[in-house]
Amino acid sequence: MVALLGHSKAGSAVVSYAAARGGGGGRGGSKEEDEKKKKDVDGEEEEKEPETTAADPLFVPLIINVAGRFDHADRAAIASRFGDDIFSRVREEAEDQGAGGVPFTWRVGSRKAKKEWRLTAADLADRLGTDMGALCGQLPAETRILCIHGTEDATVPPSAAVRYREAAVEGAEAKSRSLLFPPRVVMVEGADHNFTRREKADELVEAVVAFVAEGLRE
Amino acid sequence: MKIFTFQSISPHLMRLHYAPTAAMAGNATPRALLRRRVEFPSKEKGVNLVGELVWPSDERSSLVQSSMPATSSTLTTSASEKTLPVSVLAHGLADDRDSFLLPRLAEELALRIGVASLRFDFRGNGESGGAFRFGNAATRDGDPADLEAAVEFLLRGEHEEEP
Repeated sequence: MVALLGHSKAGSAVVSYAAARGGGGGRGGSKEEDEKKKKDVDGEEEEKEPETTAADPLFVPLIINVAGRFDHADRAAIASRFGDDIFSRVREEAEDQGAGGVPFTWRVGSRKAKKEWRLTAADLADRLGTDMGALCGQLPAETRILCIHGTEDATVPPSAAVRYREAAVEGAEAKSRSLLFPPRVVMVEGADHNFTRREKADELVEAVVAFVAEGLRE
Repeated sequence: MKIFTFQSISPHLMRLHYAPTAAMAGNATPRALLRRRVEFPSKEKGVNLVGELVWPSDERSSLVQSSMPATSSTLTTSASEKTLPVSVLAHGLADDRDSFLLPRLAEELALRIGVASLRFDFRGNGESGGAFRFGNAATRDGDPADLEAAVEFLLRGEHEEEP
């Protein structure tokens, strides 16, 4: 495995995946699990060299985050998608009808198929509780991360790319170590969330191909 | 020689310049693309994920697992024993493996720098099983669990079986 690329929601997912290779487990596991993991990690650190990622068969050296959201707790972003009353609607559904979720029908996927799904209180809580900054701080030192974002992204704030980089650098500094490969940021001037315009798509592709090619050479 | 430049919105942002790599330069003849629909288990019991592998072929199509160390594990073509690095390309909310620029990225990575890729539908999306969920982008048992399932599938080498 050389590279993992995720767009938008999966941009956050690939960073979380990478963080888990550094001993981070993401958030959302049971408390017991988290504590057990913490003990395991502490134990490893005492016994072994800190370089544990090489032993993780799931380690992927190149991580490419395209237009991934950094601030998942931004309530305004959720309200703009579902309406300002979404938080009270989900809460009331959970209280009155047992947390099955508020139903939505969306057109999804490349074929725009009709999809009925439910926004549950648990999923909303997961979203609000997702801390990409903490996850960035758990990235293995060997991970090479590239964040690409369009400057005209109206879905996810373009500032996310820089925030990922800053969180990764600060997280490493907090552990008194440094990343072997400082995170890279490529801002594509004028690109929207989906890099819709052909020339913007071209810029994205060039950035990805160049980053992977460079990673393969080294 | 082509040089690509990305404009920066702020001076501390990276400027990316690059020229075609040796691998690209040595690849004057366009290679053919090979594709295979694949299905593999997710981390959720009884739920399968569906995806497509794309890889370049200038020799033989059969993919054989490399015996290289895990951190650099690659696919190899059986005829040449040439290693073929592999990537995973993942889609966003309410998308699927053919959304965004993922199919194009798969083709360009394969044809230009010889990198294979797996695109798959997250649980509850596209052809994959399971429930469609909001959130869960970064939680261990959310989307990252599907990424782990995809990487493990590639490392197991089950995709190598010829029909």
